[in-house]
Amino acid sequence: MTVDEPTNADEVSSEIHMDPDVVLDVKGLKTNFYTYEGVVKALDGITFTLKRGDTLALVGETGCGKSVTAKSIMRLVDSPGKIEAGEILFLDEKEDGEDVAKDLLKISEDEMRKIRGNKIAIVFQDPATYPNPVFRIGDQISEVINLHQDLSLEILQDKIAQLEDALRHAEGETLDSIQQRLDELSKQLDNPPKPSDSEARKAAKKKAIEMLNLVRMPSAAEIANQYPHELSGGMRQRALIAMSLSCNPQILIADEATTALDVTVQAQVLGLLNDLKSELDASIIIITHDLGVVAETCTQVAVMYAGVVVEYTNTDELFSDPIHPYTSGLLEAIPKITVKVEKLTQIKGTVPNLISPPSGCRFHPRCEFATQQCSKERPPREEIKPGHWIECWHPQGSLSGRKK
Amino acid sequence: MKLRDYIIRRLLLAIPVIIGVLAITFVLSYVVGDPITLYTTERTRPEAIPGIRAEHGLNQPLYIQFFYYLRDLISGNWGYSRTARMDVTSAIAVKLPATIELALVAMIFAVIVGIPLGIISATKKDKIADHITRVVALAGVSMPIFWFALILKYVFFYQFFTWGLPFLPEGGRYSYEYISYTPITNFLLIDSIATGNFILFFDALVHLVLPGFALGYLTLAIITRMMRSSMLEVLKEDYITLARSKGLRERVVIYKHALRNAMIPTVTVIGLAFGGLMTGAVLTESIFSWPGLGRWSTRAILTSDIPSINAFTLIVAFIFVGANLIVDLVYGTLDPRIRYG
Amino acid sequence: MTETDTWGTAVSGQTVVEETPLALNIFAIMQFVVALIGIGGGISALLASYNLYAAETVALVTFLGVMIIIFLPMVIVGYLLIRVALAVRTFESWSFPWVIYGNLIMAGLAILAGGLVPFISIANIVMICLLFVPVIKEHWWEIFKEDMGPRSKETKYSLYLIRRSPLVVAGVIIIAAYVFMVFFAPFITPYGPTERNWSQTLRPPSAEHLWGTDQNGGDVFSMVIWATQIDLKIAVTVVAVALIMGSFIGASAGYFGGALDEVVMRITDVFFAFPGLILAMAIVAALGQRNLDNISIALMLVWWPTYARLVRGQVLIEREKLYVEAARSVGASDMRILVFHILPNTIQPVIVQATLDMGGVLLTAAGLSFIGFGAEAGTAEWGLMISQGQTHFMDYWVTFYPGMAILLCALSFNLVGDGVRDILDPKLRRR
Repeated sequence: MTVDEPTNADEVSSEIHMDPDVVLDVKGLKTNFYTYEGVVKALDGITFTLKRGDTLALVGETGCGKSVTAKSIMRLVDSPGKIEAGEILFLDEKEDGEDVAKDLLKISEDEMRKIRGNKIAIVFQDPATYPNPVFRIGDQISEVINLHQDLSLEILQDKIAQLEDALRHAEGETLDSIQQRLDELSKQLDNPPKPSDSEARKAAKKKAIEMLNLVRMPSAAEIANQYPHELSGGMRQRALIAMSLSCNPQILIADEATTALDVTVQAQVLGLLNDLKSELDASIIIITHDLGVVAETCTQVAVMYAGVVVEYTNTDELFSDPIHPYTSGLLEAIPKITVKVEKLTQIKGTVPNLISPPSGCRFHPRCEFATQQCSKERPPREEIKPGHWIECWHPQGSLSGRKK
Repeated sequence: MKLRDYIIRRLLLAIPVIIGVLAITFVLSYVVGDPITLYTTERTRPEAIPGIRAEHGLNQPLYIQFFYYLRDLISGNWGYSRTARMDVTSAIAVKLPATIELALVAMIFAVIVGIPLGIISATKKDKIADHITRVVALAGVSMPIFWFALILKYVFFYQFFTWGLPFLPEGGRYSYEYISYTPITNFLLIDSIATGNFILFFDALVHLVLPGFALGYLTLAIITRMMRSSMLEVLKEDYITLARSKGLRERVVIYKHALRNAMIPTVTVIGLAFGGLMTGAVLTESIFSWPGLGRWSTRAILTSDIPSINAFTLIVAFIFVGANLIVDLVYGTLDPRIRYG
Repeated sequence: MTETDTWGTAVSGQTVVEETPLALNIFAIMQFVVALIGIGGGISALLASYNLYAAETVALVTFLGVMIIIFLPMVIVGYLLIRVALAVRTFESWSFPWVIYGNLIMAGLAILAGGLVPFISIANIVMICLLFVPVIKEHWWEIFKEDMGPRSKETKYSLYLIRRSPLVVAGVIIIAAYVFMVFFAPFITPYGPTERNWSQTLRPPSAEHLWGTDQNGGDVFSMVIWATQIDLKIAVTVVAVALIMGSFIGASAGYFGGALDEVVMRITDVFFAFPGLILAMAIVAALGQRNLDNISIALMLVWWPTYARLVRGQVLIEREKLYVEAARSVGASDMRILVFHILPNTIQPVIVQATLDMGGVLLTAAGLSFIGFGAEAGTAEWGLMISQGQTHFMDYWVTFYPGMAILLCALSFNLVGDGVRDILDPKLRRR
């Protein structure tokens, strides 16, 4: 949409090398929004990695750019927004085992469309406004299935199964004709014929119901025939999750998917996501502002502040040794049930205006350890401990006192 | 099932409206002129007047007269039309199809051209196609329809004629000087096909071009504008982002996901447009010498021909209420929230 | 008419010109006296203690005293305003414009001199003096800036959007041109609206008759411009009355609900069962005479339900909002809530609708005249001109120019209405 298309897609992808463990590698992503009041520099060089089988949390306050990141990965950024720079490397796993690494920002729109909903899927925040109100749930799910998947093999297998069933109850002449038909069909197993439209639709519908069952939707078959407004919020969110998982994507992005739900439903949905991850061999990016969710369900965390990833490591490490002052500030702000205090700790100040963001390190106006250097230069991204990256001039935590 | 309940409810709501319409036409027929004039002339002797009043029930209290009025309506006795010089019911049988045929042609034209135009305008917002469409639509909404009809007649009949180009007819439904026509349903297009008279069919079609275009242009403009604005609103909705995130082609996103939702308010506008078509008919029929309801009604009102006025007002109101009812039903089909909500 | 008579006669019997010096003298003296008092009051406030309340009291007393002194000129202004009203009513009379303009201009000056100027000057003087009191300056200015901040930002943004859309600007310019034509018709037309030259019927456009002549020998150009007064007046008055009437009824129906609401809904339903033009035709026929006044009345009756429904819908939405509950909980009466809280929030769609309706009313009025329901034969009115020129449609100028006039006028209203709607729409506003 907003990125120019290359002349030769093959040329581009063959040059990219990715660690086979890594499914998504975002490097230096910059996205701007051109508005009446000025240019909003929403993302200023985001870098993080998603390994296969991980659940990565993208944590931050409202307005730090989490959703923009998700949309940028999917290349769904609409004007007045524009992805300015960066690389989003994705390891596209083909069915024949030949994995191809692609830079999502450089491939053509056609190729991107094949990836959307298919290899990378996204679940959005508000189940009230996201499903299309005039179409049935089942139809909306089967739409994705029909779009990306070739169900010829399954349809054929279905037919064979039905015939085998009939075979058991048949006799005489019908037995022979059924056997004949069965042999014919079995020969086609290597190269199944293209199904008719109605066959494809029915198969997709069946698959859709399977998906609804997978997300533990009660009475899935009935729900599939209903319209979005007839379902409760939690059910709608499950339906949306079913929609996004229906093509067995490699990456699922959950953009504040549980924020609009009750706490109990939230717990169920998160549990569901984790179970599905292993069942479907997917990797998940969870976008949230809730540290509780992070602690419970995620393996890796990237902490975002004002369009920058300030800290990136695995969950245990983050909670036990937060190094960036912002992270430690966040963790300190969580009230502890065992300690009695007069006043809750806060991080002083407010989120900056991204039209004229602070110079140098974007956190420096609110940071108690800030120095002159912080306001002048943006700190580089470095691996300060093994598997633990930050962008800071004055790292704290276990490394405090170590001045740069 | 909720759909049936919805239909029944809409029908019931229409009843008080119809009663109100009948009451108003009844009252108006009184106010326009004392009905006694229907039965007297200047030469009637004054002494005979009370007798005439009693004979036609004009001395009864108003609500009884209203009852007679309703009874006459239902029994098909709609009176005699001075302007048409025949019974009102016969006049309607001839003139109503003429107007309906014209209105349908205009409406079909407006819908077929207007909806795609609105979609294009919305999807190519702020580009040349959009600007041109908006100007065209805006002109349509700002233009006096009768003037537009005259201009069309001037250019396509008169000027083409003087320039030696093939010209469109000045008026009338068909070239009665050359073609004979025995009416069956009074719908020229239907009758001509039914009798296999294809010359008449094409002739009638040619005669429909100018009046149909003149009448339909305003409706086209309204539909285009509505389609554009509702399309723009829908395209901002979250479910469109979701559709795109599924990997659907932009074409599918627009024509399947967006259009279905954008049609909902547009359908309402189409229903209202029927009223506009009736109004337009009143204004344009005389320009094209179209023997329909519009021309009849203008003459009737100018000469205080009460039975004709009543009939016309009732028909228009019924058409309008009927059209809105159909629109509401279609609306219920398009938007499941109305049906099952 | 003599020299001094050219500006017309005042109610007192003397000519306006003669009366003017005396009136202006009185006002000048008033100004002076009042300014003195204002300055005096301000200075005394300064010299008094820096107590905020004392200063306010002095200002208040000065203010009241001055109001009484102003009262006198206000009375004079009052009946000058009546003269203005009378002048506006006789607008379509094209004979001797000086009468009208004389009254208008004098009355305008009187309002300025007698009312506004002293008022503003005293208020300013006192305020300015008070501002020097440091306590007030520090406290009030900050609050003022804070209050005005968002509002002025929004206004600036609105103006920016208006400037940015050339179509709205074009619409405003065209309307201004039409208004100009209304007021200056006598000065820009070579012929009067009822002037006929029977030897020159159906002449094509020429130097003498810019846009040709019609079948009665009237100059098309002049008639089109004179007709502006009639058609524009109808459009504005009909929309204004329909708006006020409809809004009031609709707001009451929406706010109080219940039986009132049901009744209003059914009535508007019946009105909506008829297309506008046809209902207007019926009403005009019912009213008896077919003239312009009756057209206006008929159109007002046809158009008010639109506003009633619109305002009712808005009120229903606003009524459920929290600020209404909050107001009620601090004891605001229903009327107060309606007028001060709900109505301001319903203004926006009403304004848009009103602008667009001016075009609609114009077209309908022209349509009515076209059928023969409006102006008496011989009046210069756009629809009528087209109607009478129908049979001569081959002499295109007779019908083309009046129709163009209608088209441009309605077009400009639609442009402005569309533009204002786009600007005020909160969804499109968020950059």
